[in-house]
Amino acid sequence: MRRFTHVLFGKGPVLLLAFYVFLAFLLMNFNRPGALRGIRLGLLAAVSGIHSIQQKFTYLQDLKRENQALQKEIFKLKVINQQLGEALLENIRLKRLLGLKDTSRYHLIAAQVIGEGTERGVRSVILNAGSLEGVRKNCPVINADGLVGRVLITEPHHAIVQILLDYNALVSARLQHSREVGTIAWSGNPWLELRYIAKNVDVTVGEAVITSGLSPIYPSGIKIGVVQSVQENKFEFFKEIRVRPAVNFNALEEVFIMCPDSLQNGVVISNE
Amino acid sequence: MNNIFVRYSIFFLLAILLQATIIPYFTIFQWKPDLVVIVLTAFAFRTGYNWGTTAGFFSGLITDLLSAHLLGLNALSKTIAGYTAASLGNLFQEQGRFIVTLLITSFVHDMVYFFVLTLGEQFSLKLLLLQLTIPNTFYTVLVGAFIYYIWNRWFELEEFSA
Repeated sequence: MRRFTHVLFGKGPVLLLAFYVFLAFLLMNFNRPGALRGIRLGLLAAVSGIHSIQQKFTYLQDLKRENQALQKEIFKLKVINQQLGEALLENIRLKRLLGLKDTSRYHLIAAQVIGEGTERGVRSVILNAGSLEGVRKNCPVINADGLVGRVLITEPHHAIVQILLDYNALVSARLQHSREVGTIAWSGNPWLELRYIAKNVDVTVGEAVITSGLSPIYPSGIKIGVVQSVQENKFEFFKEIRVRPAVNFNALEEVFIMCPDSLQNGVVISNE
Repeated sequence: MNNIFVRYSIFFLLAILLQATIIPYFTIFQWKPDLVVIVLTAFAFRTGYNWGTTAGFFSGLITDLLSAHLLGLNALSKTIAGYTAASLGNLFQEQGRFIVTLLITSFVHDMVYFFVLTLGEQFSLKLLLLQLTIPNTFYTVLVGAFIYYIWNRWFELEEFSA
């Protein structure tokens, strides 16, 4: 080992650079923290500690509790409102299927945003709920306004969430009125893009964009945003649709994790 | 020498934690300063190639653990940043041009980081530069210059003295 480090440190900086670059590519290839998970747990605990100090300085406990209860109430009402609107449209279109019931149930786990990921240019958020609270990888994350993202990493008491403002976040989405399905993506702008909507589809500004339910991750009917502008380029096959996100990602505080298979600590929201 | 390593280990850890907790409040659009790059530049500027590159790799690796992205992405970009800062340190140390070193190091770091991050995406080099690299670099340099000023003004420690 000593000989190895001597060769690396002794034979010039370029060899050392090449060694670390190779190691970094190796890590990217496997993308598994393995033994480094212990360090991550320690860091998350420290982030949690800093967050709680921040909380002590910024909030009065009673107001916070009341606020949380009200937020939950508003959230439930908004979800019910969204679902009713969606159900109305669905009922009109699918009269023949009225006999079928939608029995999907989700357990909502309330969580607070305690920090942000250390990425640059894009953002992920760190939540104070983890696998012990029932959070699983790929669970969708929402707030009262709509879709926030999905859980990528879970630790016992924390989770790291990929939000929609991420180059790698793609969501199968549907235009609420025309029912056309496209893909929501982000390319570094304040808005989201709805891709792969054909030019012959009528899209109106202000139309809601919701999750399509075609992806195994996101259930249908969660609001993603509203159409902000529609453009056509004669050299492109599809419309260029900008979508204003329903969620204000700059002011994320409390979110809910939707875990279909979780049985604990959750608020049950049913579509029945 | 050991004193420097202990001190900078604390700085690195603090920078990583602040990056996840306090820096989000200073985000403008999606741009935010990178405290780890500032500490890394100061460290590599002082200690040279071997320690600068090594510190870059390990600080990047720990930064990656608090990120939802590829493990190793920060390790790669910060390794190269550490090497760059050390190279420039050799060139500029006598003149004490820390800010110039930080500017170039941060630019190289962000170019590598965003290039790998947006690999395979529909992203032009112009957008990569104008939308991500340059604003983030300038934000980092602005914060770095502020820390440099405070450091010199109130603590007058030897690290950055011109």
